[in-house]
Amino acid sequence: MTETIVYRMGVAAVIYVAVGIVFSVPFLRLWAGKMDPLADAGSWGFRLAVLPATVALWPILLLKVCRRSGPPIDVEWPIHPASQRRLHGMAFIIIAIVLPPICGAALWSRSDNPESRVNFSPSPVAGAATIVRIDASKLPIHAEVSTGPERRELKMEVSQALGDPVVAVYWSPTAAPDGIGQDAVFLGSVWGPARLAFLLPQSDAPGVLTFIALAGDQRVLETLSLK
Amino acid sequence: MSLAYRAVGWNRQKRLYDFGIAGALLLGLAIDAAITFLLRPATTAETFVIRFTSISALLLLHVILAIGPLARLDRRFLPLLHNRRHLGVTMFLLAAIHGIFAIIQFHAGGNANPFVSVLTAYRHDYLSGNLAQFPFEAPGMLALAILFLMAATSHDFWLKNLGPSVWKTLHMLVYAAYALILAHVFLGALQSERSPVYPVLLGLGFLALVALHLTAFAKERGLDRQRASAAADGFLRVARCGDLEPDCGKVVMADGERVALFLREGKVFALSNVCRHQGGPLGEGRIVNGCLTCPWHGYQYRVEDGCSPPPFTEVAPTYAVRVIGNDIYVSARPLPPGTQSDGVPVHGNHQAAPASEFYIGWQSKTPNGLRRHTRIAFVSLLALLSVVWCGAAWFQAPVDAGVFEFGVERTFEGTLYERPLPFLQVAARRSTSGMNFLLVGAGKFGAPDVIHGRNGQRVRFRGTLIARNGVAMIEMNRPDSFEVIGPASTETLPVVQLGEGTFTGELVDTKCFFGVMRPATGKVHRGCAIRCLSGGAPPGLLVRDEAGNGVVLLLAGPNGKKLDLDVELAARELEVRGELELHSGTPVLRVRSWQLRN
Repeated sequence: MTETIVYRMGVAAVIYVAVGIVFSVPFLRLWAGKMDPLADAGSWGFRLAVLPATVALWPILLLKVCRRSGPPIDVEWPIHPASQRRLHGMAFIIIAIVLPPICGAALWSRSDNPESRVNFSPSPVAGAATIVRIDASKLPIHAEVSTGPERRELKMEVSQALGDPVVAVYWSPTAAPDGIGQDAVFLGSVWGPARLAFLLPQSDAPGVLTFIALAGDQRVLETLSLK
Repeated sequence: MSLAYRAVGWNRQKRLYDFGIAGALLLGLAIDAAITFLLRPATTAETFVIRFTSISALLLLHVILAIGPLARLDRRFLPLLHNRRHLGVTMFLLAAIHGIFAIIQFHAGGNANPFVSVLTAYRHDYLSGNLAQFPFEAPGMLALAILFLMAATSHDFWLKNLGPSVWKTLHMLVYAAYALILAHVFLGALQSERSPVYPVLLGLGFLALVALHLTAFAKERGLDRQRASAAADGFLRVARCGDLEPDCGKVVMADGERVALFLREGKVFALSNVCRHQGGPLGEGRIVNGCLTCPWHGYQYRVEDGCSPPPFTEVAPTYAVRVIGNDIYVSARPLPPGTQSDGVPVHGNHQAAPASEFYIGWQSKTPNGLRRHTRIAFVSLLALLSVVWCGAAWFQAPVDAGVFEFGVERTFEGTLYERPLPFLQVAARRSTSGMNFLLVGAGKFGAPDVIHGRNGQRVRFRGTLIARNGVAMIEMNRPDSFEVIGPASTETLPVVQLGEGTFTGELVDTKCFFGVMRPATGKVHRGCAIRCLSGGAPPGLLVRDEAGNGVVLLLAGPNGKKLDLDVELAARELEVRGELELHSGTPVLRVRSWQLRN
């Protein structure tokens, strides 16, 4: 419903602009000069400069053209300068009164910082962390495995871009002579600098973490055994 | 003043002014780009453009709003006032770039017209009473419309032909635009940007503007309250002869109206204080080349009859003057426009003093002292703006790394799984468990229809890689390349059950979060997330682990059912209960129940 109304308003706006563009052609070539003699000798730059407002305000201009009225002639300056000054002052007094509560309330009502919330703990890992040593010359990765009563988690910190191909990380309960075995489980992939956390499916069983280059020959980059 | 309209009446001062604006913006661009891409290299170009243009437009708006009262309080700021419309148009262009980029980035390419989406993406929050969730795009759009009207009608043609009443009223809307823009920022960007630097900077800017405007208002109000002493014959005593300086104006009050008194060649003349161009204070002007010259835009009038020198046609009403003793009297009512006056001689030394400095915008040179002051003001302003640009760029929220190989197509081959979410499993070596790629479509859409009914089949297609934090996704932007290369297998995606749990986090659309948008969370991205989710992109719950790392749990329906979740909840905090499963390394939460947290 709301979308339909807004869509129809949008269509009306497009039609309004299209009519304005059509209107602007004769207006800027002929009628503007009749309305205001200074416009008659106006440059093309001037016509281009006033085009957007001509398109936006075409009904007012059409009315003026139809009435053949020139610029408003005011014997007195139409706005009393003192009331104009008062208007400027009042505008800022209103802004000074109304705006701070709105902005303050907007800040007050914003949600807590999600960065500070820890909630990914369906079965919290409570156990000593194991630092997994990875040869930095092979992979710029710092890895740490935390073991809890129900699950085991691998946390990795990648310090620099690994480039293309990406590195895929696998967990396997058994070691295979040339890398990952048939029963390996894909944990995730690493592209570049990041801190990652992967859940390991078994909490206490020994297993092997394998890092392989995913593309090309899928060569094994590193294999680490967890007791 | 000219005999024919031009787009811009260029002269040396205007060029210097515009070079100053361009130079300041280039400096801001350099500062912002250097800090942003040094500290947060993952920031995308379009995000940078959106942020830089918004910060710069907001800064320019503060400068624009400060120039008026500054010039009222200290005439040495008049050179900044003369071409203020150039600042206004520049500010509008920056705001327009900001708006266009934001609409394209966050609302285009989805299942709704972008302009409709901007105003209706989370329409129910207009009236929900939750200020933090109020659609901040609406006040921004309204402010942009006002700025457009102001920029488009800034030419003198419109001042003359719409009439000063309409034109001035239209341009008074700048205050409404300022209020709407602050509301847009506080309800939008500041809901996500957590640094206190931003509200503090905006608060200081606001306080400075309020102080300047109210001080200028109080100064003018004090003058307006002055009462002239009444005298006989409808004349009012307004000044003493010694108050006047040769060729300089003096503003006096006569029966509630401001009148400009001038002393020229030993004679006193009185004219209306209001310039016919924009209502500038003629009494603060000077006599230049025999004509009274307005300090705002240099419009000129002859002091004898108030008429502009031919061929110009402006007329400022004159007042009858009397000098009795040492007192100057003016008539309470102005004379008919164009009434000739010979002036009234006054006694004393009325030799013209050495011409003090007076700024006229249409002249090619600025007087030396004013030029020095303008330079100091400009450099000080530039230093202040640079500090703000630095602070605004430095304290931005971190942008998470992600990969979106935009424009790069790869061929992917593997086994297609439609449930619980569309996956392509690419085999790796001899493992039964390959690498999973979530599938989405181009733009703000989920996986295309070509995958339906292909569960378990081996397929090949071309697409673009998206990846973040160990999760990969393929944008299937070439559905025509999709082909089935093998029959359906009976194998299912390996699943590890991790048990039931309750998780609290932000509902995100995974396409943006895994790399297409940076940042892809929070209020500013809410409209985009709604478009993506309603277009079929897989929903995810962004939760945090003990180390503060973001982990996205893909959300799926329970027991193979379709997930029933209102897309307007995107970017909001949910508490979701369900069963967590590991689908070949990818955590999937089968949602049993959820409730809104904010």
